[in-house]
Amino acid sequence: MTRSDRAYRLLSITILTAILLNFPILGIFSSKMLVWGLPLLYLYLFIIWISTIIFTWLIVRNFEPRNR
Amino acid sequence: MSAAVVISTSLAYLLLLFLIAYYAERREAQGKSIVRNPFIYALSLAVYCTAWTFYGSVGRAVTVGAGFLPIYLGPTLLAPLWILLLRKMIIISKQQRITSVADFISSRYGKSTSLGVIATIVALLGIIPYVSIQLKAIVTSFDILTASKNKFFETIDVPLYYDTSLYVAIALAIFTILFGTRHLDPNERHEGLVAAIAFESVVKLVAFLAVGTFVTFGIFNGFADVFTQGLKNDAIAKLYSLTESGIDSMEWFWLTIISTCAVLFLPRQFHVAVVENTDANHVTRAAWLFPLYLLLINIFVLPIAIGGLLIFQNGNVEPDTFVLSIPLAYGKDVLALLVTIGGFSAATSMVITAVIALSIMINNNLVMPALLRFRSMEEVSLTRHLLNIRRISIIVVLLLAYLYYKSVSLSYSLVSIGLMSFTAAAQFAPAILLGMYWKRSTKTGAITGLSIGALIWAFTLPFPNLIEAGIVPSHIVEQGLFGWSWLRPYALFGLEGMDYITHSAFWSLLFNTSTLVFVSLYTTQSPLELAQADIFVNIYKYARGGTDYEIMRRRAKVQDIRHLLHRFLGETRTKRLLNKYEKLHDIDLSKEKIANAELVNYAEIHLTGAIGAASAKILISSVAKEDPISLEEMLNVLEQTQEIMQYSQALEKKSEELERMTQQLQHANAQLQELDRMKADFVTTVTHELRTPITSIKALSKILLDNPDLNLEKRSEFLEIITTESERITRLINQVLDLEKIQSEKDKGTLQTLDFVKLVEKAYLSLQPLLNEKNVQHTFTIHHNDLKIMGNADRLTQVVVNLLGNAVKFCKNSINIILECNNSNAILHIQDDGRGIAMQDQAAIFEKFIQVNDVHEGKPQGSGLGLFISKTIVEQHGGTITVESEPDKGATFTVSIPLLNRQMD
Repeated sequence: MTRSDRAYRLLSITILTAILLNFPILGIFSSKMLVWGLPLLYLYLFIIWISTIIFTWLIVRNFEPRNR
Repeated sequence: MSAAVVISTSLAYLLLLFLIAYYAERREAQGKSIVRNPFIYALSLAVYCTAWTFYGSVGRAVTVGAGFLPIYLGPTLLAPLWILLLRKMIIISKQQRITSVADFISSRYGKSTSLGVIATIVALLGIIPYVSIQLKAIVTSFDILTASKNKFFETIDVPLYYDTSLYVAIALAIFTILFGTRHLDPNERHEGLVAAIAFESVVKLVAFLAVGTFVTFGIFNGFADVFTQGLKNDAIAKLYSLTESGIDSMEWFWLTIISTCAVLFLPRQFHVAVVENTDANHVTRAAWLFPLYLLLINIFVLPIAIGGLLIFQNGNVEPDTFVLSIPLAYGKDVLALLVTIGGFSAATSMVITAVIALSIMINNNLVMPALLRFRSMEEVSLTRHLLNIRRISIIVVLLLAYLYYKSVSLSYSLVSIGLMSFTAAAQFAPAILLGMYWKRSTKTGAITGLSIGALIWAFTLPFPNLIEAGIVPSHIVEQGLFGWSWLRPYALFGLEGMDYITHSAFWSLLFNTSTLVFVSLYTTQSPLELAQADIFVNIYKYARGGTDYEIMRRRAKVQDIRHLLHRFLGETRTKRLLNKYEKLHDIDLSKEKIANAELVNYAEIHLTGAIGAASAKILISSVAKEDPISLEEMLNVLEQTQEIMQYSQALEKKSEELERMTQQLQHANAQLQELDRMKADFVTTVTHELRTPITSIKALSKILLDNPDLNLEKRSEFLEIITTESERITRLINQVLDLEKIQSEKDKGTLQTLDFVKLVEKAYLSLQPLLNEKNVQHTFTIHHNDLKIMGNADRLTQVVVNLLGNAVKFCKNSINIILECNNSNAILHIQDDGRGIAMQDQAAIFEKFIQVNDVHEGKPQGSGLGLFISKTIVEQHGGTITVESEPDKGATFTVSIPLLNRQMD
């Protein structure tokens, strides 16, 4: 993976997260339903949140040895 | 809990922080820094979470449910891109020695002092309220912890010496000064500060997780339990859905946007993320560590909010204080103390970092330029004073925050004031982001954009606050400024129905960005702006150890530069810097009078670190003379560079060829000149030789003509001389022609196999008459009969005759002829017993026109060419001719010619 590849992947994560965590998609999950006892909205938000972190970590960790 | 416990715990905590900071700085001085790692870096970024996060998130969750989250989702969104964005900012800032966000903006747009001023003012207006709410949070928490009944920490309408917030402010001022102004680091790095902040981030996370765990698992039975129970309450259930909780899509979106901007451009954030950064590569790890931290600290917000609502059903507990009130209500005093310390951590980390960042900005962008403008440089020698100015600005900022707190912030929630600050910080975004990616953005554009954005922000957010505080009449809100309805602070241009923050963010950013773009497109940039723009946008080109882009051809006296650096960086540091420069460029500055542009730039960069880009520029220009390049000139240069590069390659090739040709020509010329000289010599000598006899002939003929009755004896004598001279002339001419012929014969003429013995015999026989006439005794000895050689018969005969003739001429009584050979050559010796030839003449006789003079003999009989011709012929046959002689002992001429079998190779 080249530097610019990495840049594009990171950019796409940002854009994807921006879309997922904003209306109107967010509005879909805005209900009072409880899933496993947790409100759907919060479940959704936190899942996306964690995924962003994990994906960023995955993309970035390959580069760390090279940066040294 | 008693006030004493609270106060002493807090002081002890501050002391602990100070010790941590001190330890960190000691380690740094030893070169074993504990701060230079990505985890500490990421933790330091968590100063983003202040008392607002700690107390206010819960409060906001209670009113708008998930609406507290955009503040944290914004940074999470942007974090993956930090590797591009933040990293670039860091590299630029290190290269340009940037010390604050105002410095960054000022530097990008041509090191503009005015931009620095505007940015600093906007920062102050935005952040001072934010600092004041931290004060409020601390005081309120103390209040609650000690059970508000006796209102020990009451701060309203209380005489000054009872006013807790004042003491808190003073304590914060003292600790900020201690953390941030112990020494002056031109890089503005404070490892102690960073270590303390990182520690505080851990403390606040731990504290929040502790109370969260307590509520979720201690009071309730886990997440599911909390939410299920909450669902039963309609008021609470509303919070589960976005639409019903009162947050709309616009608000959500704009809150995300401004927090994205705030996480990088809030002065304290910029300071820890960029200025305090030790390694640009740490950003890689921070890009996921920081969102992880945000996630962790927010997990329990909702459970606490819901729990609090469920527990305190009668609604007389402020939601902002749930994190404290709940443990207290359940008698968990220690936990409550921990929480207070957590909140205290959150607040103090924000205050200390923000105030230090603001003081740097005030120093470098307000104070220094003002001093430079109004006083001569001589009076502004300030290494010692810089620190004190810094301390004074810290005190001023905290004082202003305190005053703001007293007058206004009591009536506002943490969140609303925090968001107001965020929107202010967002005003920096267009100038910075466009500055980093669009070379065309100009200083004028940035100034107008930032000013308009700040103006709109001020009008739509803090200004209306003053109404509520009674400073400004309230009809402005309803009817607009001057009664113009489109100038209503909460409904600008008639845009109604949005919440205040969103409304402000939208208009201010819209005007800011569009003004920046349009004005930039219609204004031009000065050469310095262009250079800075190029550096910022193309930083990766310059970051590879290149020197600063040398757009200004500046010269200054080394003396002046040294002087300047002494005043602002101190003697030790100046010495160190200059030594480094000398080593780098292999130059001895004490021998140089004039500093070149490189040294000037080097000095300016380091000064920037101490006093900011704008001030450094002013100071340097006061000692350096510039040959300012006009824009046109520079553009021409840039355009031509491309062409020039192409030409120069072709030129190089051509010039190489030319050089080769020139060398060849020179060589040939030298040879020709030599030949010319030789020819000239020859001609001179020959004509001289000719002239002498001709003169004699002329003279004598004239005498004979003029004197018809000259006696017979005399007449015969004269005629004899005339005859002899004529013969001499003829001989000379023949020999010259001969010589010409021989020398031009590259090959040896007709070559045949010759019997050398027979040849010599023949020559000897032909000279017999002469020998007999002169009565010369002679011997002819043949040691070897069979001497076959390859050569030209006539020429070789000529040689032998010449040598024999000389021998006869010069001998006394006898000559000897000896023929022999060795392995490879036939050898002929011709010996006479004449007067011999002196050593020094022996080489010379073989040269042209040299004759051996003899006083007895009178005029020499030869022409001087004989031996030269003989030598030439012999050498053409591959042989040698030599002479052995001593004065008065005769001479032996030896000719040596390669034998046939040897010549064949």
